[in-house]
Amino acid sequence: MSYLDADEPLGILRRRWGVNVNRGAESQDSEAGDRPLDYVTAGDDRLVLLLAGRDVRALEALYDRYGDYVYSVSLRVVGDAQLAEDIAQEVFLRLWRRPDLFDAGRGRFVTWLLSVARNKAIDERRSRGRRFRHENPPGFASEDLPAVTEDPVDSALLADDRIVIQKALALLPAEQRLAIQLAYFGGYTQQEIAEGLKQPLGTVKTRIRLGLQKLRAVLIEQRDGR
Amino acid sequence: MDCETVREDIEPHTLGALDNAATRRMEAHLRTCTACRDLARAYTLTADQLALAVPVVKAPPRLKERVLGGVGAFRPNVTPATLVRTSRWWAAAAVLFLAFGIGAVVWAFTLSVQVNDLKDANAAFADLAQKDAEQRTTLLHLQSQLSTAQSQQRVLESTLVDQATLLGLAVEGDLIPTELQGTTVAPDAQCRYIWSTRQSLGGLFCQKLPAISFAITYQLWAVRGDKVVSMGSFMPRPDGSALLLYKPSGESGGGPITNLLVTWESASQIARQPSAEVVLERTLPQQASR
Repeated sequence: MSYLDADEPLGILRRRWGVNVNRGAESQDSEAGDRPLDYVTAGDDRLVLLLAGRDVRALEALYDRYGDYVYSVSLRVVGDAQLAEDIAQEVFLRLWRRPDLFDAGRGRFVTWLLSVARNKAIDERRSRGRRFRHENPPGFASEDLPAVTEDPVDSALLADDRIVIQKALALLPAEQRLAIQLAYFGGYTQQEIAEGLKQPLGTVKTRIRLGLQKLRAVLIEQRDGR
Repeated sequence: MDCETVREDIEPHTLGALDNAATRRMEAHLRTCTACRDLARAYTLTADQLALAVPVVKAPPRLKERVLGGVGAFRPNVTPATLVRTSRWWAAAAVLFLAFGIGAVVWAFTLSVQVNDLKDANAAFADLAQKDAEQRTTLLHLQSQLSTAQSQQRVLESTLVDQATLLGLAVEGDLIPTELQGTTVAPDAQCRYIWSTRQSLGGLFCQKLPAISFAITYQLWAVRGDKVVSMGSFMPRPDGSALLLYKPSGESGGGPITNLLVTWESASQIARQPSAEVVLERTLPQQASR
């Protein structure tokens, strides 16, 4: 079963029952019956469903779970703490207003939420225009992520997922990893990356293509090997 | 754009690394090609994993307050920085406005206190003025009463003197009374003149004298030989009675009084001679002393 196919049955369960089978605590929700909901252990999808009913405790629980991650991704992209704070707030407010934008059948909630934060941060970075890019040109070593980090935050919740992606990135050649990170976290186009790194456009295209293909293969391999 | 061309750009597309034109062409193709759309979706799932690789930084505690405050769960203690930046001038203006407002209120309160003080002072002055007016009225009333009392005292003293004089005249043994009878202008009027040689004092007592205008006065005349001498003027009382005392001066010579008469004379000037309007005259041919 491919990486893509493996997600489909789970998505069906999520859509039908609001159950996140990726997390053990989620399976308890369907058996909970009329018992008061434990927001701390409730599944992401269940909490997202509760958002449609304007359940503030559900939003608070999701924030407690992923607030640091959303803020960290935003900070990684824009490099400004205050701006990252604004972006993170906007992401959660958007989730509150439009929880229906999350389609449980197309992936995990946390990856969707972080992609929303990343896209919002990229938009913010791009909207600040040429001056921002000039002050933060691609090619700086800061664009590169550390191979495997010891987070100051207790991130046991996503520790396994984080280790997997960090190890997968570490397996990539440095130039491929940098090109991917410049595109994903820097919001740069292939042309801009080529100019910033003073490399031919074709070279940058190849690095991005090969890098992402290898990353996908590693992730599928590691996932299937669990 | 065919599938082969699309798949050359599918990876950078999922990373957002295509320019705007290439992105539009890619999205247009993905809307119509299920196979390419599924491939793009698979790479998107891979790309989305990249966000998990970011080192986790602890978000500021206020961020949670902002998020929950933004949905009305509770009032946020911290406002968005952009809002803070944009609202600084408004905050400064609000502070200034508030300061002016407080100043205006304090000023108005001070003025109000001063106005109230002035009102109280004016009320006190009004009370004092009213009391002063009342006291002045009382004083004037007392002065009027005093004046009336003094006048009454003078009348009483005058009456006592007259009565004492009359008593003296009455007890004298050398009295020679002279009766005077009203003429046609005052037929009921009667007067009696008494002379006391010992006291060298004469008195005229009248009754039923007609009331006269304030511009006219009664005047007693004495005839001494061929001379007519004024003995004084008098006004009748409301009951028609009147009294005139006569004390001749040392130079009032001219012989003994041969006749007496009373006339009406003008009060505005001193008459030297009796007018023709005789009101009373002696009735009997008696010899009057002096």
